[in-house]
Amino acid sequence: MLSVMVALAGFTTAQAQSKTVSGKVSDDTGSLLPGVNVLEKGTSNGTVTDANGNFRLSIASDESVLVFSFVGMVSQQVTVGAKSEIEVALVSDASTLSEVVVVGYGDQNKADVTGAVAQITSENFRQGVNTSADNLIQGKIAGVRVVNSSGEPGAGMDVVIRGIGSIRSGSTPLFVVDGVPLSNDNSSPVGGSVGFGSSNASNPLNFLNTSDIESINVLKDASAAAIYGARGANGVVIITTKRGTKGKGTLTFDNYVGVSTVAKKMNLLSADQYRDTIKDKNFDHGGNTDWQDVIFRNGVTNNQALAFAKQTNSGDYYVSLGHMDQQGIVGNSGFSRYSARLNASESFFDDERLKIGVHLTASETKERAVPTSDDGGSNGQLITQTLMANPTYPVFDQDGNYTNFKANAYYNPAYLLSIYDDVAHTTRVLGNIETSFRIVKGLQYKFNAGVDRSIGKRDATLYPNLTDINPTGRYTQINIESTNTLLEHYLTYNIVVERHRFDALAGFSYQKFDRSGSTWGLSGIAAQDKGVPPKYNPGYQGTLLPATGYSQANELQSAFGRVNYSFNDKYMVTASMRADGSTRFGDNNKYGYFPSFAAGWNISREDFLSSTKWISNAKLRASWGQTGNQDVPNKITQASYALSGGDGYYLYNNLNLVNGLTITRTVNPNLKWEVSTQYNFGLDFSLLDDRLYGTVDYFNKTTTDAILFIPSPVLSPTSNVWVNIDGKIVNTGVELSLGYHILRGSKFTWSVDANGATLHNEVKDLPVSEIYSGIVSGTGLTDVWANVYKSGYAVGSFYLLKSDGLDENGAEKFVDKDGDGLITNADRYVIQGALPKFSYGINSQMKYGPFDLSLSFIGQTGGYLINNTAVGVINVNNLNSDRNTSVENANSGAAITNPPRLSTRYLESSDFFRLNSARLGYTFRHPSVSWLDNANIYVTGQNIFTITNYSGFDPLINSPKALSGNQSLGIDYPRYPTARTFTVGLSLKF
Amino acid sequence: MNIKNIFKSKSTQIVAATLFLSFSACTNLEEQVHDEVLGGGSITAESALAAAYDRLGDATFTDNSGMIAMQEYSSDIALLATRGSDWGDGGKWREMHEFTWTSNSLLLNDNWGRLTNGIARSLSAISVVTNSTDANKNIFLAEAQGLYAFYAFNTIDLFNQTPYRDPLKTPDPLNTNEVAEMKQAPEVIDELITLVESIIPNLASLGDNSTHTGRFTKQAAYALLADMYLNRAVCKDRFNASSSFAFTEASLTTGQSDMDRVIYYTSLLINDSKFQLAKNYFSNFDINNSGAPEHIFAIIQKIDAFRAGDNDLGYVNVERNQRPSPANRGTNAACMTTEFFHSWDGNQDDPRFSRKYQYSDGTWFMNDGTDVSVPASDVVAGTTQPWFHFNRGIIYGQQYGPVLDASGKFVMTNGRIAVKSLVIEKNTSTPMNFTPDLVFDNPLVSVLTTNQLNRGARIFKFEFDPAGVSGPDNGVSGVDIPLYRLGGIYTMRAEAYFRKGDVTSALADINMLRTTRTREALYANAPGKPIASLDKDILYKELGFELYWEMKRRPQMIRFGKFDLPFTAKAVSLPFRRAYPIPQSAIDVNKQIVQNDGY
Repeated sequence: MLSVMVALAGFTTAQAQSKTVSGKVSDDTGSLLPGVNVLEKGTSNGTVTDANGNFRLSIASDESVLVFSFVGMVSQQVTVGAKSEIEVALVSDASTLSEVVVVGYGDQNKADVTGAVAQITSENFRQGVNTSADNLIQGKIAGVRVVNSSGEPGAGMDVVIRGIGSIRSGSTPLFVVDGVPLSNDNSSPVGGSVGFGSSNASNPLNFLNTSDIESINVLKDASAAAIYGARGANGVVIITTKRGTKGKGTLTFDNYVGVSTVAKKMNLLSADQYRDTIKDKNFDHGGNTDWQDVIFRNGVTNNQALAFAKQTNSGDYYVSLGHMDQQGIVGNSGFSRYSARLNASESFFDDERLKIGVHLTASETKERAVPTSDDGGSNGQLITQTLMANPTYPVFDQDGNYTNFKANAYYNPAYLLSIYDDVAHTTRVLGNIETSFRIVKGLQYKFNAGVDRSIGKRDATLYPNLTDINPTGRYTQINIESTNTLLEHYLTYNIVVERHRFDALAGFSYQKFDRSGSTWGLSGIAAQDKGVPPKYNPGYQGTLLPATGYSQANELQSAFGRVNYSFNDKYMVTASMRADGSTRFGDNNKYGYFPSFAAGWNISREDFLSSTKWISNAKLRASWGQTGNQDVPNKITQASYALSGGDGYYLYNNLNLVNGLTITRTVNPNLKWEVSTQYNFGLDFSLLDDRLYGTVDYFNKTTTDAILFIPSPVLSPTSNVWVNIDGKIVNTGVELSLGYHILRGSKFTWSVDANGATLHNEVKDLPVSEIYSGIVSGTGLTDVWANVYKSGYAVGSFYLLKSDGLDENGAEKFVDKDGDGLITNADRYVIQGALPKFSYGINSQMKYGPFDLSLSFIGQTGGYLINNTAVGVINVNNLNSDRNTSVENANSGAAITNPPRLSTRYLESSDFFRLNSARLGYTFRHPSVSWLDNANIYVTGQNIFTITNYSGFDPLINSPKALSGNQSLGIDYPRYPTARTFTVGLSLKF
Repeated sequence: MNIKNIFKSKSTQIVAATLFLSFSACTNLEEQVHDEVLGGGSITAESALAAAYDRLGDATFTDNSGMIAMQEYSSDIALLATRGSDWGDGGKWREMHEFTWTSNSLLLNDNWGRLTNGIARSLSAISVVTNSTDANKNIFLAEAQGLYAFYAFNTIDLFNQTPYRDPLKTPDPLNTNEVAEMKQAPEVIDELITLVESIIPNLASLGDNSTHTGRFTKQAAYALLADMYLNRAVCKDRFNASSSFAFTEASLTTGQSDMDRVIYYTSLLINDSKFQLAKNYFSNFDINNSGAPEHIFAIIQKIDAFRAGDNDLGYVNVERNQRPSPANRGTNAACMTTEFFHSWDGNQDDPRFSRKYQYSDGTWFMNDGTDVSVPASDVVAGTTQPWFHFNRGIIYGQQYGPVLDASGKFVMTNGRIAVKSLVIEKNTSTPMNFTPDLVFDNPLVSVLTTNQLNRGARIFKFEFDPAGVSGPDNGVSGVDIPLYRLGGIYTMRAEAYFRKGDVTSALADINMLRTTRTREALYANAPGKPIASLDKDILYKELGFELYWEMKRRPQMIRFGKFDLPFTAKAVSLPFRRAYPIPQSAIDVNKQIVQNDGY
């Protein structure tokens, strides 16, 4: 407040005028610049250049200094002296504050942005093999956590922006690709269980070729995200693909080959160690096998990308083709993708009055899956079977056949792999056309229509086998189809009147999501290598299993508007509003309204700072806004009855099944979106001649009206009901990003940037005592849940017995909290910490002549994981039941007769520090080879080393272990281990 | 007009603006539902009634997590101990036996949900049937009211209170705009008795109107009324410190005590020629037990793709290496308490204790080490898998049976299934010797370590159905689950006579049960032996002999004052534990519920 008064005081110090100067302002190419601010330094006396770049201003004296400033240009100061005509050429500002960032329905100069928006452009993306766009920003943006759900090629990622604001609806942000908001639903089918797990959902963003991406912008606060209304509560990620650039056309060809290995093997007992440890000699089967070596392999990745692009006088185009073939590090698994993209735009009529742009991409992805789902039931899945397998079993018997472990739930993992074949094909086409028409100067009408369509099919075959899991074999075909259509009209208006700049946006949007699918299958199929595999001809042999299917649609209809106003490039305000109507909401709450307000103050442009040499730029921001979350299933507000055999009865003495009538949903007219209300205070700065730059933000994000599926009042027709509950989830944190140009020479440049975010999360005033989540899997662990949502504690709190070490016999002891002499569930403690308190990234870019080296580190502290592998898979009591355990467990002193029991014994710190990616490149460029612009040869590494005490595969993991749809946090179930990958590549640019 | 002018013209701009506006509000946001039929077009009286019946079988009375856990694991008959790496499950099984359950216990929550859902489905059926024109309308309505009473009675038996909506209210007893009232057992029990007595004229008699034992007929009503009168005194005063219940108080029928009414209703059934005691006691629990002559009210189970029955009652006592077929196995879960096993001392020749299996070629499965092989001629229904039949009843000592070869098939000898001495599957150096004397390292903590997986005698009362929808399946079953059966009716009448002081009549009923049943041919079909005298403890023991593992034990224990006493892995408990707590998750969303005292 005080500083505002100081600033206002600055305005009033007017001086007597005695001289008039006039002149012209142009940019570095000679084009004349209208709208440039011209200010007599130290006064409020100033003007703006006219349409031809001319200005005229009365000044105090020859000693007066004129300050010329313009968005995206470096400000210039000129002492008037004796001159009365002054010509100035402003040069483009290369510092970060001059970037154009992409916001919803438009773009903005970073200097004018009032919300918390972060941008990463292609040169700063994470290096190496990246199958999906969310990989590219891992560790790059403060407050954005990108966490693996599995190490499988093409696996889904958890992208979490500013903490967890929802219990049920997930925390995935809205992804917008070239103006088309995507659905977060799976585009490729999830596999059904084959008895030892199922195949995982793959990342719906896999369809985008990552080398087509130009920039990724993350809208973090409500001011930025509110324009996306009911889908903005988890933040918005805007992906912009490449277009042709100025100059001659470019042709680039990029090719790399990579090798992946498992980043960390579990330290299990070897066959010899096992023999020495076991008491029961029946468990020695005479062999010597490292099952991890049998199942894990070196995976080779091949990637080719070809692109050509050009900007013409009136338009531009970008065309690319891509192919990626990635072998997984678990035998038989893999991911491949063919993709093509065409981005083109052209202008028509006078002064480019009509612009038409097209973005079109098509891709075909193929995932070869292995059963490594988050829970395989009591039989586990391939990875748990691999870890548990007795190392003294040989892989093959004397006849060359796979050995059979002969006990239920004990399988030869190599055999399991050999009898399983699972391939999913997904074809996805995303295209949109954007038209803009200038109605009058400053007023544009824009039209955006898009279609995103995908078709996926999974053929999963478990061949007839010698295990007790579907011994007659099973074939499942799962089909999925989705279409997302978008229609948007909007008007933009911008006008500059002297020092007032005004931008307005008003629009209408309609989006429809259609989704359907079917599943059917066979049992009793032909044996492997005998007859025709069912995926080629399901009619060849087998008995049809019951089919299921669904077809759903949901629609969003919205009106939105935004106003930006800035005065003198110093004071900016933004207000926006979106009214979102959704078919998912109840009749009484069809439309939600999501307002936001923000203000910015370019404090460095104030007189009292403009002479401060070491400050190049400084801007304060404040915002408030509301966003929504509508990520709930369709149809939940509609009453429904179902007639099903499963709820029926053999009512008459013919014992025929009479289908039963059950009420599956009651009408729910009041259901509405979750509301997220967020405050944000930020500072952007650039100091020491732009050498040091950064951003600090504080946010407070509070979710109310959370949507939950909770028990309904007793004697309701349905046992659970969807409601908006009272209570809050509060996320607060500070985000800092800081960059420093250590060297800026012509030959040697080196910059380092770091980002970090703190997070504090608390659930408040829940109307129910507690909500459980976090399924812990393994035998003897049915209905054991690790997470609890409880008032006064963070989401992702754990609810555990406290381990009190071992007694003299090696039996586990626990703290008897209630002192009743018994260890029961009443002795559990709430322990916070699935969400790390601090996560950070450090990036270094170095260029020395033709060499470039970039390093990217990530880390986190203050978080914990439940090591489900240790409690449920390689528990020490495996030594007493013909299975393997870890060296650590075997030497822990724990009695091998201990039953598995979840406690803090299996809670481990997830702190780590990792060299996440690195790249070393050499660029060849020589005038004598005129046909080649340049050639770049490079090596990259991913996941190169990790410093951690965590004993599982990877501390950066979040296995999806939701209970009844309530999301889990901080559980590590051994799905597919994380890979370490090195690539060698060659990139040619013509 | 050239093209520039067209765009410059005001009229074009107006048209553009109008077009823009016309796109607004292009949908009214009515949700389109393609994949289901909403609304009531398909509602029929029989479908609503079928759903009310379904709840009985949908885990409630057929699954190990249902009434087995509530009524047997909490008793002196059975328990599900933690066995090595299996069945720890966060303590949810153990707490049922160790009496450490709380309002957050999962099994209590599940079963509260199942039973109250049964009430809700019954009310829904009452509502739908009332508004229907079905030819069976009157019968269906009475049945739905009978089911309502059955679910509500079980709810007050377990929780001492029940949510209440008037089952006679028209037009809609399930008006969800009203908060459901909670009623306590002393009040509800009389309402339920009155309701069931009032519907008897409208109910079908078993076999009439296409009914079978799976329907709530007049006979089912008699059985339920006998049960309600037998427990009415407990409902009235469940927590009295000395377990002295007023069993002979005046009933709702003038001039008759509760016990008179029990005798009246049980006698209607005992004297009904539709029902006879089975000579082969275990035939009541066979795969083909549909319509068994002892069954009065049962859950019909079949194996089909849409609504398969539950095999738990036959499955959970079986060890993992006990394989009815090469593709089937047990799960080594539940076992019997030491006390209950020894209550049979001197009575092990009772036909209800165990029964050996005889194959069609005359081979007996002796299960004593003398077996060499059994025929492989029986196959699991719908498959070619050979079917090995285990003996029935209470199984203990070293076990024998088929074993698998390397290719996963039964080891054979001379074309027959070889019978070998078995070991514990998860600890192959431990012989499968089911020791009746359960010893726990900590006597009050029912945890068995991996070298103790063999412990505990097993209950093979219900036949393990190895068949499935597509190939052998451990999970599904075609065995009907009796809820009321003639043997149990005799025990009720005996108890009523006994409590009235007519020990002679009580003894006669008990001896009828003992001597009607006969042993297998191996023992010359010898009938069971009568007993000479009866006192309270003997009667209590006899109730167990007849009804063990049939989800009747906990109420028996409370009536006989045994529930608070210590037994295997259970310390002395306080009277408040005679009712379970209302689950906290239910209280969270039903502010009208007052938690039971003590919790």
